[in-house]
Order: sequence, then C-alpha cells, then structure tokens
Amino acid sequence: MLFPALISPSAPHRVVVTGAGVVTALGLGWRQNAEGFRAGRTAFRPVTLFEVGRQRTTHAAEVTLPPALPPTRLSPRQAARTDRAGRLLLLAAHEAWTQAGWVAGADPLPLVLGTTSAGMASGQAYFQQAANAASRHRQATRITHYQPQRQALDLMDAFGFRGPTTIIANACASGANAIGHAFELVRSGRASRALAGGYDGLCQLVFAGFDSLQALSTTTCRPFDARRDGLALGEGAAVLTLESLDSARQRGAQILGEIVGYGAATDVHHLTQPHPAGTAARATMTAACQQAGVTPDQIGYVNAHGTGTPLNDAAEAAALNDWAGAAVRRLRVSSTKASIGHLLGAAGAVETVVCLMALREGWLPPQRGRGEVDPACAFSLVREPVDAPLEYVLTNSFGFGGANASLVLRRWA
Amino acid sequence: MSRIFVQGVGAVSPAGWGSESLTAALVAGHPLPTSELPRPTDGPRLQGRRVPAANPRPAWLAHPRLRRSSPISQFVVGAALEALGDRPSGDPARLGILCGVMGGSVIYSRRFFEEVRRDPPTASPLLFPETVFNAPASHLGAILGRTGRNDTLVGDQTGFLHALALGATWLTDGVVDSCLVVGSEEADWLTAEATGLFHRQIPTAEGAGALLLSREFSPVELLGVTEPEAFTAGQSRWVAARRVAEQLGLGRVPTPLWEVGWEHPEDHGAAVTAMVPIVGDGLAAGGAWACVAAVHALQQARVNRAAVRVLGANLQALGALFGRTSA
Repeated sequence: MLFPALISPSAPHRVVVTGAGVVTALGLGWRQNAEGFRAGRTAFRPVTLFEVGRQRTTHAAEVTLPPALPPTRLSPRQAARTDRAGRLLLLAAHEAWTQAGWVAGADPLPLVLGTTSAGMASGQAYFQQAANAASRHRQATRITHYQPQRQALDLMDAFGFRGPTTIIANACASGANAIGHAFELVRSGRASRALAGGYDGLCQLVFAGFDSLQALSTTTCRPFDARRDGLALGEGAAVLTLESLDSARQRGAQILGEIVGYGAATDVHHLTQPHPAGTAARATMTAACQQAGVTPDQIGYVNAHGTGTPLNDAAEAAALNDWAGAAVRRLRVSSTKASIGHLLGAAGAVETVVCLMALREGWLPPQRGRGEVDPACAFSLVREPVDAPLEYVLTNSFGFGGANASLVLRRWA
Repeated sequence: MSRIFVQGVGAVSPAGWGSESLTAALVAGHPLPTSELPRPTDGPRLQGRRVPAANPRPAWLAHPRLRRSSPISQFVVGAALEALGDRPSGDPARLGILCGVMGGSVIYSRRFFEEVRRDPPTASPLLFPETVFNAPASHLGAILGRTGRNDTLVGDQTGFLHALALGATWLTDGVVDSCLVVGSEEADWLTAEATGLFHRQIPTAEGAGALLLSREFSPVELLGVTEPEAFTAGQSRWVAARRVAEQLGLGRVPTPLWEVGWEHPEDHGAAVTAMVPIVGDGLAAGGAWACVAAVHALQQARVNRAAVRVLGANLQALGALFGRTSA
C-alpha cells in the first residue's frame, strides 16, 4: 500500500547516490558538465527554439540535443514522440541508470520528478491548433505530452520499471523537493531505492513570462553582483539514483556521495518576491543542517539559489548571513546559474549534481566576473576556479509561491 | 504505525459552495446542469459544469492574495477553509498543505499565452505568476499564515489520492501535526476541447475538495491508499482497475464505492456511486470530491466502510479506504 507502507525495521537508513545524470547547455553528462562548472564557463547563446525578437532579451542557455536518444526499451514510435523536455529527462536518466548499474525488477521503484512546465512546448502547439478557427485538426499527443505524467511513463517504459510516481511542481524548488522527497522515502525505510530528478525545457510561455516580469537580465546574469539586473533562463535535467547504504553495499555499487539533510518551508510574504530577510530560506537551511547533524561552520560550500535578480539575491544573502552567524566570513558560496542559467524545475536537481561533483572531485564551481560583489554578502563569493577538499555542502532552491528547499550532502570517502 | 483520522472535509463543486451541496447532488443522483464554455474562436460548442457564484460572497475572497487570482485558487481556499472549520490554529510551521492538480491554472495560462502570441512585450506580468502550478497552494498558505511543508503534486485524476497518502505519511513521520489535502481544477474551453478528444460525451467540471488529516481521534479514519497501478505498455486500464479493487478488498468485504473514471468496471458487488455522470470530469478535483462524499457518508453513519477508486486519464489507477472508528 502507498499508505500505510511497509517500513524497514532498521530505518532510518543512510541514503547514498549511486548514479547521477545531467544535461545542461554546458554539455551532456557528468564529465562535460564537471569540466565546465569547474572552469566557470558560461553557456548562453541566442535562442533558436522560438521567436524572441520582441522580448527584452534574446539569449538563454539552450541545450544542443544529440540526434538520437540512447538505446532504451522505448519503441521507435515512443522515442519519436518524446518532446524536448522528455528527451532532456531521458538523457539524464540514462546516464544515472547506467552508472548505477540498476536492473529493473519486480519490486516497485518510486519515481519522483520535479518540473515547472513539463512538456509546455507541446501544450503551446496544441493551443495554437485549437485557437486557429480555420483548422479542425487536433493532435491528441500534444495534450498527452504536455503533461508530466507522460514523461514519467516514458521513463518507466524506457527502463522497464514500475512504481509510485510523484511529480512535484513547486515552481523553481521542484527539483530539490523531488530529491528531498525521494531521500525521505529511502531514509524512512519505505523504499530501498528511488529514482529522482528534475527537468524543464525552454518554452516561449515561460520565457515571455519572466520577461514580462522584467526578471530577465538584459546584460549578463551576475548573481550577488552589486549591479545585477536579473536572471538568465536555461534548460536541462538531472536524475539521481538514490538507495540505502545497505542496498548499495550489497550490490557493491560505486557511491558518489551521501544525502544527509533536507529542509523545506514556505515563504508567505508574496507570490513572487521573497521576504527581504529570507526567513524561509534560513528555516530550510537550519532544518537541513539539523537533520544532517552539522552546524554552518562545517559546510564547506553553498551552491546558492542565486538567480541574479535584485530581490532574490538580497534575501538569500540576508538568510545566509543570519544562518551562518560567526561562520559566515569563512563560508564559500557561488551560484552556478551564472554558467547555465536558471533551469527552473531542473535547477535543484542539476545543482545537487554540481554539489556531488564538487564533493567527489574536490573543487569549488566559480562564477566568473569582475564586478563588485554586493556588500550585503558577508560570505566569500567563489569567483575563480579553486581546488578544495570538501566534507559537507549545501544547496538552496527557492521558487515562486514561496517554495523553499535545502539539501545537505556529504562526501563519500 | 500511527492511525490517521479525517478531521474535516470541504468542497466547492458544480453543486455549489460547501460539501453538503455536493453530497446532496450525489444522493439525488441526477446529472448536474451544464453550461456552454465560451470560446473566442469558431469551433465546436463545448459544455462544462462550472461552479456557481458564491452567494453570499465569502469575506475571505477580499484577501489581497486573491485579488488577481484565478478561479482555481479561490476553489482551493474555499474547500480548505471549510475543512479547517473553526479549529484553533497551532504552530504555523506544523500544518502541512498538499495540493493535487492536473490542468492547474489553465485559464490564466491560456490568457497569458494569447497575449504573448499577440505581442510579447505587452503580455501582462500580473497573469504569469498565477499560471504556476503551486500558485493556489501558495495563496492558501499565505491566507492561513502557514510556513511549513507545502507541496503541489501534478498528475491525472488520481493526484488527490496520491497527495492523501503523502499527507498521511507526513503525519506518521511527525513532519507535521495536521495536513490539509486539496484537489482542485478550473474549467476552460481549452481543457474541455482537449479532454473531448478522448471522451467527447463527458463535460469538464471544476471546483475543489479538501480533507483535513491528523493523528487526533475522530469518527472517520483513513484506513489506506492502495499501491498505484500504472497504465503502461504492459498493463491496460481494466487490469489496473481490477488490481486496485483487489487491493481495496472489494471482492472480500462488500464496501460502498465512490468511483471516478471515464468508464465503470463492474468488478465489485456493493453499491457504487459513479461520480462523473453526476458532476462531470473534475480532473484532480474528482478524486477529492469522491473522498469528501465517502467521508460524509461515514460521518452520517450511512455506511461503516467506504472505498474510493479513481481511474486516471493517463497515468494510473488508485484507491483509498475509509472507515468509521470506535473509541
């Protein structure tokens, strides 16, 4: 039963990551992305997917998709029908699944995904058909592929597993919430494994939406810069295979890192603006660290939400200053959105993978720039590539509606 | 394992504002009236079951958060406030909110995209934030001043039952002290046309349903939510429906069933209330209404056990079981 579920008597379990797949505009897969993030490369280019000539900005971090999907159990017809967002998700999932060495079995495997707009590009295409009075042609697949459950079912069919599907749509915190939910499933002993991640493809509605709010940078996305003027959008996906430490050890699996804390809270200040003091952000960081059993001075690096908008970064800086207290001067922080843009529902998942890379390979992802750091930042903003052994890192994700989430990860030694 | 109890229910439906009107319509068993959903372009005439205007207008609709909100947000708040009743507010961080949706804020999404297609620079910045799936749950949290867990789950008609299971899990694990679980949807010509591609004869419906869960004893208990049975390449809708019926034990213990789905498998022997012919396809709200009706029947001692089965449109089948409790 989904409820009440059978719970392993030895819970709570330690939760480890045995596979991680990532797709961003920096490239396909762990290696290309790790090299890009480590060097602080940026991946913005003119948008080619839809018309942006009338928008305030015309650039985003668009992914170059490979000509074909990797081989899976999807039929050629299913594979051909997948939309852009679904392809991003399948690419990331294939890397994670393969790396983990998972084999589909009879036991249910929970799937937890975060997204904000799923196959919105298909929804837009359907709307254009429906609003065209001259045309009676309607393509039903555009409706089915607009919805995230289609991408979830494709994922299950691609790898031949079944299990409870949870699709979390908490705006830009969705990816972190999805990993947090999967973490809780495994930690509580309700599942020994879970597949989790986030994905979002660029689409016109969302691009125009952020532009209408004048939230998009018309210059360069510069999180925590004193003269920052907005965010840049990107697209991508990241998927993690989570399992209990016992499960990973029994399989002899390679362990990439450990998830040790998750916190979630709601900022009720405004639908799109954070409380200036970052109260909910502080609450999630505190909760995640409490669960992890660590204090802020033990966190070696924070992957900030850091969108580059004046309001977000000010509130997050206030929250980080307050949360870290006396340790804030030693706290190293950066936002990888400076490299790949804001991936919305994928952001939290991709940034979790960036944290795994940093833990595993011992470096801090810089956000390059020569501008003046906002004096509100009492922490150290990582602006140059640097090697650093890390034990614990924290990643923040905040979204419209006041959705806030933090995850704490530990290096696997 | 903790037992989970239902403390309150709420509904906004084509039958009116309030769970009593929904139950009355279901007991009467007559299809609720439909109305035409206006569309700006030529095309087939589309029928839907809309929520009638609230009369009198509730005072909470004047809350600043709802000033520009879409109908779905108002339905969520209406159903949730009824479920909460006048229960004392506790720690703001200890009330969880879970909202299940399928189409979400489709009216504002359509309006915003129409504006983008006409002239992107003039598209309204007031509309876009309301298009986000979690806007209704965010408004609810803000109106209640609740700062704890607040998740929006997207799926098909089974989304509410999935959220119900997650809420019960949060309570079992002590993540929250109580949890509002809401399923909601709003009707628009675009949704009606899209769903009509699959089942032309079923009108789209709108509204919300809510259950308030906690571990405190009450006369109605959530006994379980089944394992989901996905519609995949290897499992048809009928097989999925039958497996949910087996999990609910419908063949072993005659249990009144509130059923949501485009079709109605005859695989059980007890009384069945088919929701869709009466209220329409409320998408994610449909599962919530079925649970509200089942809990009402238990509260009124009309039945001792009540089952809900939802056959979603394109993801899975799922069921829930409720029972009357003894102290």
